[in-house]
Amino acid sequence: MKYRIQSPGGEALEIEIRDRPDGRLELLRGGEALPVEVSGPEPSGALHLLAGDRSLEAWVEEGPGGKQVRVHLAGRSFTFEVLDERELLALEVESHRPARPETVQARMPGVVVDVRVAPGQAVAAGDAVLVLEAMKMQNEVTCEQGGVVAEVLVERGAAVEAGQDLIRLQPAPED
Amino acid sequence: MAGPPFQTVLVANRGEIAVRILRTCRDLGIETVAVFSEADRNALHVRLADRAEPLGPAPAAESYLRAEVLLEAARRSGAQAVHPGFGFLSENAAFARAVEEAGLRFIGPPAQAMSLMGDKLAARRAMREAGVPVIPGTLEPLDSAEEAVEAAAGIGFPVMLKAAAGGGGKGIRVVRRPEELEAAFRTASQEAANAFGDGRMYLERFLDHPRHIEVQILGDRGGRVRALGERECSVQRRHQKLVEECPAPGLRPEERRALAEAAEAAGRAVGYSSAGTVEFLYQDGDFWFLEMNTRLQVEHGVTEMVFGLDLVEWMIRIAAGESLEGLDPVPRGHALEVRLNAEDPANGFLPATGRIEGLRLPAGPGVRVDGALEAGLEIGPWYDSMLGKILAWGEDREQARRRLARALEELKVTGLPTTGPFARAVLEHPDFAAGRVDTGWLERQVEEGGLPGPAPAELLEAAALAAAVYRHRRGRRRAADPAAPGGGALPAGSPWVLAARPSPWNPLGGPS
Repeated sequence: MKYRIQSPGGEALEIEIRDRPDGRLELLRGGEALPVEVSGPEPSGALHLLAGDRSLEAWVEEGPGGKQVRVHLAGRSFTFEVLDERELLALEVESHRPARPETVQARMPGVVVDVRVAPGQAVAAGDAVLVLEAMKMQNEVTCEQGGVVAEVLVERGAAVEAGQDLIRLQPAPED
Repeated sequence: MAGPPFQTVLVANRGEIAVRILRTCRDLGIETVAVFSEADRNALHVRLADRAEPLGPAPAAESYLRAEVLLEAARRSGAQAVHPGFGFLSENAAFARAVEEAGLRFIGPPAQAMSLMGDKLAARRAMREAGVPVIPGTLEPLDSAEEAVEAAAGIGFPVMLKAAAGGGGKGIRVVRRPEELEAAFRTASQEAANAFGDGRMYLERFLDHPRHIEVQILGDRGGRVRALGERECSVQRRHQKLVEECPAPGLRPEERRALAEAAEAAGRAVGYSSAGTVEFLYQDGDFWFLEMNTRLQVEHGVTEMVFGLDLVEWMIRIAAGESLEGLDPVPRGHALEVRLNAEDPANGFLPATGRIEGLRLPAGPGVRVDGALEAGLEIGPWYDSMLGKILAWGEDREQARRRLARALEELKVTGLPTTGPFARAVLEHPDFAAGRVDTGWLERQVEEGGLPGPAPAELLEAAALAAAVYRHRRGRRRAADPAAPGGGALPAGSPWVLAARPSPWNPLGGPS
């Protein structure tokens, strides 16, 4: 299976991984094949790779929303988007379709302290649409794609759960 | 051998500080009583205690802040003394008084010292009288914006406008020009009135590159006050400390002596006993009193490592009437601490909630972990985001710094983001390594992209390979359901996978 690993900084790495009959993996990159013995991932996320005599430990977990992979390695954390060849193909098809409506959700439980938008209002990607208070901190909730506010689903003062829908957007009309 | 100072102590707190205090109590042979809200039923501090008393629902106002419920719990459990920890009721003079009036000992300072230091203006006046340098500014509350404008002219711009009842960065404004003062006065005073029920304001000269240096003191009930070295806490974001160390790097011996003497004078002036911290701002060889924290500090551990004593033990002994006479510990080496917060530095330090799925805590030479972390622990939205602290001691600052960076490389937390990786980047930044940091440094670095800084290419590549292998082994998560972290694909090697296989004892598969 081929994979593309993208960092938020825009760097991308492409690699092919094959299962070998002896249980090891073969990593293919730029015409070179690297046999790797893999232990894990454990339920904790612990993953250990032995490539030749090189020992590499990383703890790996799913990122928010299941799209990303977060890797903890040598005291650093990296967040990647990992796409396999099927997903890359699907993405290619998707890009030719019209934009889909976005629903802004709460990333953590909290209390709505301010609603900054009203139905009919146009918002751009990254705009703050609502303020949520959690752990004594006020946090702006932003939309990812933007569009036009179709419906505000919560009121000021409402307690919300993680993952709860807050604001429904519809795609901005095309010029 | 003398018996323990108290037979039973109630710890009126939660999380890592409750665990920290419980540990010392056990060392001293004291029976421990934990308290817990409904959200903390399974917390480590409850498990480590001999007894545990429920307080009420999760919100702090309905549990850890209810003085009468805490006193009732103390009475029911037969405790003779109460340790308040930090935060919650630890600097509440009325609570300290209520504890003593209930016939128990409050393991902390006298209520009157607490109220005096809690009023920033009264504290400034008391410090000036005691000969402790205070930042030039007003000593009486300002009645109006006009009065502020007049006072500022005498101090010189820029000025700091501060709330008399202040704390936590609320009601503070830097005012750079006279024409901005009136509006700033009104908004800051309103903010202070909302936050503390007290809108009184005062002015101080603005310092543009101060270091935050504080002195640990211990006082006994007989009037003896001892300074136990300085701590530097200049690595701050929005007035929240992230890295702390003992001693402050690069001070001349006479500066250290002057700071220690000023802190002892401050403590004596207010009749202080127990552990406390006198905070100073230091700039270009001068220092001024900032405020006093009348409680144990989060960062007390670095002082303990350098001075080789247990501050919580001394708080307990002092509360039981023991004297500090003969206590003269000699500092040795250097200690550093980083706070581990459940926050996402990549996302504006947004507090994170969730479950700790995987955890490996560091250990080894010179390393200490103070925390209440366990795999499986749920971090809810109710309390502070601090999970714990990682500390390291070394013969010198450089050894301590390398040990702490190594410890943070060993630390692994999955399930929610933490400030661990960010703190490691701070430790390895050349400015920090050289001890060249003021209180504005961290925010400037974050703004300019200097922190956490880019990863070396070979690490980025190794991490990308690990991500691909993980995806290859685990497969794509089936449902993008944020309520089920790690959900979807079953982890390889999980007992449920084994149990689901048909076997002679369970021929149909599924849990037997």
